[in-house]
Amino acid sequence: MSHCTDDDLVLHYYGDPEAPEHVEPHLSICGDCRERAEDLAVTLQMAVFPPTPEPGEHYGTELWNRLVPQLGLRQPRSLFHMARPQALSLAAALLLLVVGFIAGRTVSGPAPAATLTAIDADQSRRVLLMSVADHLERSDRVLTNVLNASIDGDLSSEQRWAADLIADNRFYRQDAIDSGEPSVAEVLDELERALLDIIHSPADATPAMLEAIHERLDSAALLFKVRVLGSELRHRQQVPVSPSSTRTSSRTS
Amino acid sequence: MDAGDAAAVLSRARRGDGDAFRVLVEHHGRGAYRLAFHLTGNAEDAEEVVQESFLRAHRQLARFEARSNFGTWLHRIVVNSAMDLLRTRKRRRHRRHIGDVERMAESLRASGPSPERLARSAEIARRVEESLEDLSPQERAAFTLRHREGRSIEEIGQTLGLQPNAVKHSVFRAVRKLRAALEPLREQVVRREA
Repeated sequence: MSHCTDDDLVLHYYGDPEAPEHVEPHLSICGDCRERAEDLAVTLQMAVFPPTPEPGEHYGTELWNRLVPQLGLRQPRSLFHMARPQALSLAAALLLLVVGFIAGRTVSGPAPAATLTAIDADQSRRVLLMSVADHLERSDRVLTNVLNASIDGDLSSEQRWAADLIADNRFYRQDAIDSGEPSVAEVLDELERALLDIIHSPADATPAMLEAIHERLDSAALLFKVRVLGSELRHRQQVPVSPSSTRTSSRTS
Repeated sequence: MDAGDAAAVLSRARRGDGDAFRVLVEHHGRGAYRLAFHLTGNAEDAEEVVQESFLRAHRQLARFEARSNFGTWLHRIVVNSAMDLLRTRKRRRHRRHIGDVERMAESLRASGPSPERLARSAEIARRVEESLEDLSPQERAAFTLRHREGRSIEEIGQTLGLQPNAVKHSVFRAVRKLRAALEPLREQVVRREA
């Protein structure tokens, strides 16, 4: 009777298909080899390792941000490096907003220049509000589609749509933070998480997965928030800046 | 990301589309980090390996065969980046393993084992870490992929560019070293469980 080698027992422990065929039957009749196999199993089961820290939900995005400078690519949030015409018009709008704000604080009294600035700022604000409102409307459609997806639905088109929206969403969220609009930034932050949730779900999500996505969207009341914010922004977009508000800004400087 | 989407994203990334490469980073980053952590045993090295891996992937994208699976290709790059790092970082590791053992002890403390078990677990962790330090990068990678990642000998061979026999011998050597390090503690474990 030929006994098992240590190497045979290692392959057998790991259930390797390359383990010699005679090992299994031999272990059933040979007490010595069985004891050695058990010793090996105890030792290998003792080999515990430090727990693996689970990377955060946004690890991929954070990693990307660290990689961008080393890859020589454009910064994703850099306003003036975004190639999209929409981003460029928004950049121009933001610039006008800043110029208008500074001019409003430095010019005293309602002068013609201040009035012009107010008009420019008002137009810029409208462009910004309109862009965010349009973005929310597109997001609304994605969320609605996902919420209405049938139990065996294919999410691939919604995922592509969500992936297209995510860069704009990040851009607008950062812009909202910079512009002192925390409530807008908060909704956009929640929206970003929901879009990522959709993007990273399997395209052929099981009914249970789909149900879990629905629950997360429902529990956050996200669709409701997106609609309310969109409506509010469209309303603000229609309200003109009154001359008196310009004067008020000027007096506070 | 389904197969069609993955192919489209890859195709765009290979043409130099940064946004497409970003999708790949966001999709595969977490898995790459877990693998890198298993191979290196600490967060700092794992982070470095992940970054280096994606940089290599970006540089070599044009050479990537579109028919292949990006995840499999990236897996190979992560393993090779980790092995490269292990070759150059031996000296840094001694002070690191103390922190890892403490982290493991903290994790065990949270689960409420007895002081004796805690001490024994910390001792086992220390010995496992020391024995892994004694392995060559190839032995360590082969053992980790077999023992922790559950990869087959054939898959490991493809990843490391080795014949199956060479992989098996790397695993065997690693197991022998591990057994030698843990043998004195094994008696205690058997006695306590008897």
